[in-house]
Amino acid sequence: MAELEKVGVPTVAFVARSFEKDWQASARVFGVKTLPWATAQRPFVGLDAEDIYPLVDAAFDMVVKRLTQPMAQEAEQQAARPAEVIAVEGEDRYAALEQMNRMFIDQGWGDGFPLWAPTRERVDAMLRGTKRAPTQTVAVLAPGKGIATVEKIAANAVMAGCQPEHLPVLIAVVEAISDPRFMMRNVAMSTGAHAPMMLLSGPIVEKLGINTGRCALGPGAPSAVNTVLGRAVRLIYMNLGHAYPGHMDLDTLGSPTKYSMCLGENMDANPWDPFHVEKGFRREDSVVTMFTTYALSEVEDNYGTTPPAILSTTALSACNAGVKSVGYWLCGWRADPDARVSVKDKHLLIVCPVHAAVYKKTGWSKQAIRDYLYKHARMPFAQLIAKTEAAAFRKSHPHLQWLWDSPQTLIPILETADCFEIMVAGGMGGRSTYSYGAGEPVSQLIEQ
Amino acid sequence: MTLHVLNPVALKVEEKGSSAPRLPRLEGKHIGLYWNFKAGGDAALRRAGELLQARYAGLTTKLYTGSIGGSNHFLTKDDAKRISGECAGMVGSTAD
Repeated sequence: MAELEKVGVPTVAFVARSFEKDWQASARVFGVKTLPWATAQRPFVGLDAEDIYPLVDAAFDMVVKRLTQPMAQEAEQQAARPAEVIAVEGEDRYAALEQMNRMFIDQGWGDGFPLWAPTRERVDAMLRGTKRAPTQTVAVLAPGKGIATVEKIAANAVMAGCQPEHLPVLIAVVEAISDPRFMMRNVAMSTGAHAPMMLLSGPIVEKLGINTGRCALGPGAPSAVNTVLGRAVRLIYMNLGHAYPGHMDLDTLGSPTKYSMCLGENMDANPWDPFHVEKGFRREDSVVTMFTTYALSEVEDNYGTTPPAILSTTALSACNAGVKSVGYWLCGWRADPDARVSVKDKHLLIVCPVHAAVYKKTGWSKQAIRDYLYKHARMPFAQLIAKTEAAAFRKSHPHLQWLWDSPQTLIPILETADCFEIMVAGGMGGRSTYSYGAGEPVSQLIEQ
Repeated sequence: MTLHVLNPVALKVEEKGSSAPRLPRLEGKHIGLYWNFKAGGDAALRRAGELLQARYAGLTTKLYTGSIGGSNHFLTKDDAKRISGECAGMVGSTAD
């Protein structure tokens, strides 16, 4: 709607009352200070037409008014931006730190856990982890178009508990998530709980002490580095991307996966090329790959001793129609209208060492696994289309409309075999993990 | 004791744009109805179109969707330019 206003078309949009603040914030980001809206008392989702019509009737006079009369200046006043250096008082250092934590939470700058203080000295120490200038802009980060400078990344790294040697990883993360293929605006703002997952591969894994084995996704001492890196990513989403809960992050429920998710590739158990080599990097490179995940599902199989046995269980885990990206391809591709980029949804299978050993023993390649999952992770069209907008399916796949007459036809949950990403991590147990992704993972070289 | 800490929040790129001039009247106008495929939006726009046509003589409507996307179809800048040549105004159901 902002783009239409910019080219001279007066607009008005229905906005549910609970989304009004976000609408105003988004309008400012998209360049129209007062983007007109008419309030609907609740969202239209989950309602039949007979329940939607009264909502429209009640808002109709406002629709007319917004099309015909200029809207008053935005009702919501933006709070003044706090100073770049903030003085926090306390009786002693501990009291001042507690006060800083209260203030940062009040401002919305924290994840809810205690934060380390981003003092000048600590941030300067963090900055010694990179050769880049503190003022360098690494990216303009969606959804809020925050200017992610090296220094701002460093400040958030300090708050998360990171060390200077972690900073190059976080700089690469910002580069990855600002890639249009990552669909940051879409995944950060959605009502779905899209959680960032960091996968590290290459020499950096050992160098930083990233946990690749038992309990790699945490919590606890073995994953201490994983934890603070993932936590820093969450703070970056909020303080650099301006995706704050309830304000450009409109999750319905949220998810504990959004606090911190970071793991390294288990090369001791990996029978294939390193993940980053598969992505076109050199073996000696260190690479971070950023995924977005809706949810994780266990793939428990302690009995399968052949790839088809294990992958049959995996396919059952994959066929979870309640997850948005299962069968999403039927209604089209995820898209960024500004960059005009469209991508397929991809899922990630995290293979545990016990299962990896079966693939190694039998000589199964990653491609063979992908092909198997593509052929066996299928569901009836009727089940996949039930939660999908039929109009979007008609627009995106006019050649597949015959499926309405054959509703039991088995449809792959992902569009092509290459939509299944695979890597190895975890300890010794017959438990792989299936991650339902959203959009395209993006791999980024970490500067050493 | 005073603890000095850095503000961790990034400055924003501020786009400078303004709203379009409003329509002096709606009679006889062609009004677009933009649906991004969010559930229920089509019904809301259908009703809005009915109400507009009932109240304003000669008003016509047309349903639009964006050209790219999946469960949310988005308008691109090119879409917006094309629509600006067709519609006097637009009613949207784009969010929740």
